[in-house]
Amino acid sequence: MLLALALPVALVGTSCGGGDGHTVFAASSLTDLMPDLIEAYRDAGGEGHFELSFGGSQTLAAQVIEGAPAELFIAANEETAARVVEAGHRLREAPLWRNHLVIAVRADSDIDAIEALAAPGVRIAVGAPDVPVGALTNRVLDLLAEADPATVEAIRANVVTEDTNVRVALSRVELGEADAAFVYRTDIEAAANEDVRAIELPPGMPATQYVAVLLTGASAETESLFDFFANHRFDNLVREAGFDVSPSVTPTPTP
Amino acid sequence: MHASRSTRSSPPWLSLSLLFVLFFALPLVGLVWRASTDGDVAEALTATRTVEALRLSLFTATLTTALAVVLGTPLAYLLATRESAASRLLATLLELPLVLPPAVAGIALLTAFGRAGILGDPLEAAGVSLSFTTAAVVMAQLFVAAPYYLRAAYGGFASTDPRYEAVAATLGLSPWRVFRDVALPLARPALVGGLILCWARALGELGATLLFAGSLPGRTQTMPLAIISAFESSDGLAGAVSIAVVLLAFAAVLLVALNWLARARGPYG
Repeated sequence: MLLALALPVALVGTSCGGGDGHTVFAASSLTDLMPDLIEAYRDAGGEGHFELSFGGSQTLAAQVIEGAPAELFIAANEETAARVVEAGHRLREAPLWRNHLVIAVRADSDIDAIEALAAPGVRIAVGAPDVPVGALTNRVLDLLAEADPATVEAIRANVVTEDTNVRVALSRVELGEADAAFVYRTDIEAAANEDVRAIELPPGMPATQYVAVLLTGASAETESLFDFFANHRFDNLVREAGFDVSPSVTPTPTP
Repeated sequence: MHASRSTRSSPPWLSLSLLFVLFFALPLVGLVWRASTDGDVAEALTATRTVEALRLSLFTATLTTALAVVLGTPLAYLLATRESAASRLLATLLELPLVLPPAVAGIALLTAFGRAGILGDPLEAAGVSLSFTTAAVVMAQLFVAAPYYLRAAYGGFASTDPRYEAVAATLGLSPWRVFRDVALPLARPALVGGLILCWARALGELGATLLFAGSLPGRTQTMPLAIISAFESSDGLAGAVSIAVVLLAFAAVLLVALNWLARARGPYG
C-alpha cells in the first residue's frame, strides 16, 4: 500500500524509453488497462512492438509539444487532447471511452453519501484543478452547488490536498490520511483493495471523455493499433476495468 | 610557484572546466530564455498562487533551518566531543536521510507521524493532527535537510583541536562558556556552510512534502509543489518556467547574501 503511494511520484517526469518500439503515451488512469489492450491487439493479429509511457495527461501533452517521440497519445479528457491538436501534432483523432467520478472512502467509513463530506473535520483529497480528474471534480461540484450551495461550500472547505496524480489521492484514503477522495471509478477497480470502497455520485453527473490522438510521424503499426481502439474492438476489456463504453453524449468530431 | 601555477591552468584542464561550467550554465540559461519568450514572469510574480507559494517556501525553509541550528548544534557538538563507537554510529544514522529518496522520506514520516503511524493514535488522542498542515511541511523539510547541517557541524566540531577546549577548561571556563566562546567560534565557518546547504535543500524539497503534507495552495503548497502543479496545468511548461524563474531569482539573491554574510564577519576568518 505504501509502495502504491510512492509509485505515482516516481512516475512524475517519466519519459519514453529509448528502446526500438513505438512509443505510446497514455493517461496514468490507463496504467493497468493498456498492457491488456496491447496483448488483445497482438492476439487479434496486430503487429508492432510498443513502449508504454504513463503520466498525467497534461504532463504527457507538454512532453509531446516539447518534441517527445511519441506516436500515439491517449488523453484523459478532451481539453488535453485539444492542446496537442492545436500544437499541430494530430494525424487522426478518435473519442474512446468515458470515466465516471466516484468518492473513495475506507471500507469502515461512516461516509455513505456525498452530503456526509460536508461535516466538519472530514479530510478530502482531490485532483489539482488543472488535471483532468480535478477539472471533472470541479464540474461535478459546480453542478451540485446549483441545488445546494451551502453543502458544496462546506465540502470545498474540507479539501486538504490537491494532487496532480489521482492515484496519490486514492493512496491517501488507503493509508487513512484522508477520509475521502474524488477519483475515477476505474481507480477503485484497479486498486482491488478491500480497505476501500466507492460511493456513487447522484445520477446525471458529467464524465470525462478519453481521446486517442494519432500523432504526426506515427508508423503504420501504431495507426493499426489506433484503429483497433477507435473501432472499439476491445470494449469488453475496457468495460471490465470500470470504464463507460456507451456512446458519448457529445461525440468528438473525427476528421 | 609561478611555473606551477601556469601548469595548473594549461589547456586540457581549462577546457574540461569550461565544459563543466557550461553543463550547469546552459540549463539555467535555457530556463530564463524560455521564461522570457514563452512564459509570463510578471504575471507569475503577481499571481496569488505564486505569491502564497513563495511566502510559504521562504517561511518554512527559514523555520526549518532555525530548528536545524537550534536542535542540531548541541547534538553535533555532543557527538563530536564524546567520541565513541556509539556516537560515530549515531552520526552515521543521522546522515541516512541524505541518501534516501525524498519520496521514501515522506513515507517514513507517514509511518511514524501519520494517522495510521506509530504515533498516530496518541497524537489523535491529544487532538494533534499533523498531515496536511504547514507543520508537516516543516517536518518533511527538517527530516530531509537538517542532516546537511548536522554533517557540516559535526565535521566542524570534530576537526577543532580539542586542546583549545581543554586549555579553556583548565583556565576555569564553564562547559557552557567553553562551547560558546571557544568551540562555536572555531567551528563557525563549517556551521555557516551547513546552514546554507540546509536552507537551500529545504527550499527545494518536493517529494517528502508531497507525500507527508499534501499540496494545498496557501497551506502546504511550497514553490517546488507549485511548479509541479503548474507543469501539469494547461499552461504546461510556460507556466512552470515562469514560477521556476521566480524561485531561481529569490534563491540566487538569498544565496549570494548568505555567502557574503558567511565571509564578511567572523573573529577567526
